[in-house]
Amino acid sequence: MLQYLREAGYSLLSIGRGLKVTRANRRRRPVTLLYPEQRPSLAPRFRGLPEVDLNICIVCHLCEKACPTQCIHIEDILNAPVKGEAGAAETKPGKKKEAVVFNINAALCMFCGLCEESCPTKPVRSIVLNHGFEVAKYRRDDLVYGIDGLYVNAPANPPVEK
Amino acid sequence: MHRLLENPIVADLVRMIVYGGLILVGILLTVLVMILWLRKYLGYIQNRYGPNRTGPRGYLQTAADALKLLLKEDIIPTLADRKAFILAPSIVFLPAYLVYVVIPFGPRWVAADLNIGILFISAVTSVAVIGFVTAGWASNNKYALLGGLRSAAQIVSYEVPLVLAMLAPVILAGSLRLSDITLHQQNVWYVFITPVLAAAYLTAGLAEVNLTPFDMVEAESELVAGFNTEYSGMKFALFYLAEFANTFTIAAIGVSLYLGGWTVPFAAPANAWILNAGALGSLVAFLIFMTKCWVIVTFTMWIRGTLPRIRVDQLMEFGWKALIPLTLLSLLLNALAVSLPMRPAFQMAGLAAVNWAILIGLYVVGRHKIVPMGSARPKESVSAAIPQRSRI
Repeated sequence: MLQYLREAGYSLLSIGRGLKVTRANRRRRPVTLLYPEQRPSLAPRFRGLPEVDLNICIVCHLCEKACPTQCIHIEDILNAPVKGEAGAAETKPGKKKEAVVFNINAALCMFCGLCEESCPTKPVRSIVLNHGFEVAKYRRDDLVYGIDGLYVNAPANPPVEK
Repeated sequence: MHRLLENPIVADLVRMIVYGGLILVGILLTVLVMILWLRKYLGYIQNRYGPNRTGPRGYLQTAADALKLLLKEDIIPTLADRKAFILAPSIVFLPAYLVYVVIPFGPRWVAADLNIGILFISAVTSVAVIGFVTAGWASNNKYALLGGLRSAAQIVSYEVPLVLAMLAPVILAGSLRLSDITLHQQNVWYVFITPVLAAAYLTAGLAEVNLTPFDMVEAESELVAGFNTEYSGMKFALFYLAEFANTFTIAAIGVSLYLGGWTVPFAAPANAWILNAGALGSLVAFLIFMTKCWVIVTFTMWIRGTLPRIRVDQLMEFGWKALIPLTLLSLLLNALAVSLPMRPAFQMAGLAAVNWAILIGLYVVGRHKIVPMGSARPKESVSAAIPQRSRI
């Protein structure tokens, strides 16, 4: 009987304790980020859309090979015309590769960062997973970023404190 | 026109229509605000904002939802029992509506001050079960039927402690009329005299209107949505309306019975002013009554945001083995106190002393963490049996 009463008293008290917990949380500020108005502050190493700097890129295809989902597609010309010493008009075949097609299919990309790891250029990697996270598009084709569509040298999204 | 109104039948008819309309509009507006407040309140408890997109700070959210439900297609399943299916939402809503007829919102603001007010309330509210079972049966859906049957079992079993708890103020006031009970609490509310029964009333009331610790009827994780699984559009809206109206009804009855209705506690002059101030006094009384109701409603929402749902068998066990004996014993105490050959003030004081002694005793006894009944050994001995490594 005493045990029964003890349990009854204890359970009544624990209801009170539970109510205290919810009251404490009710007084706390909401953690919700009102997204379109408030922007998240991203971590420095946040992995967003891959961005390529074609000025540094040596077109070695390593990122294409490293990509687990084959979302990178590169086509190059070996004998890219190189500017001669005499002037801009005069060109001759050089050894430098140059990318003609550098497509990144954002629909396939899973933001693993293996392309970035495999990139050999030093000291700055030419393919970097930057802070772009708003990748939604209305058409599937729009998700394939070509040479002109890549964010070359784009600054990281400025993080806005909420 | 004037002469027509003097005819008692016509006057009654006009009164009925006006009061009925007022109460209906009042319920609709209250429920609209209540749903919004519930969503906001639960949001705050869960560290989020709740609806905040529709209208200024989301205040138009429920209005928009109601409009959407009105415009939605009203689906009736092919194999459903059409007549019962259509009738069920009204049966569920009707009791919540009818109860307000006898509730005194102010000294003279009662639609019909029946001398059997409590009896009327307990008779009318028990009709809602039929609606739940009808909805479950008519839907021709096994989850809906399960939900309906569960609700029948739950509501019928919690009806008993609810009515027993409603009887205590009747015994103390010596009247079934709600306005009399309210007036008897001018000096001390009954919640201070019989806190045990007030708590039992709230618990049974929560179960009666299927609120969260006892919301077996629409246990989303077990049944799809309970008895209203197959309902859509306006009929679903009516169920929803009834659910919230019932919550407010329980709060309103509780306020009239235990929290002194429109009276101010420990302030006889203020109550006397309200009684004699005519329409203004009635308005003040109405505002006081509504404030109390909203406090109770918010408390139920607080509980809703805190306690998990209990199991069906636990629900039944708690109802029959704990709540009914408790209310019966408390009621016996009340009856004993009232029949003692003493002045009423002493009777009340004695009853209050016993009740508070019970509560304080439970607090003292249950204060410390205890070992559950089932476990064989207390925890300390287990930890003592493990050799301590750091000693080596």
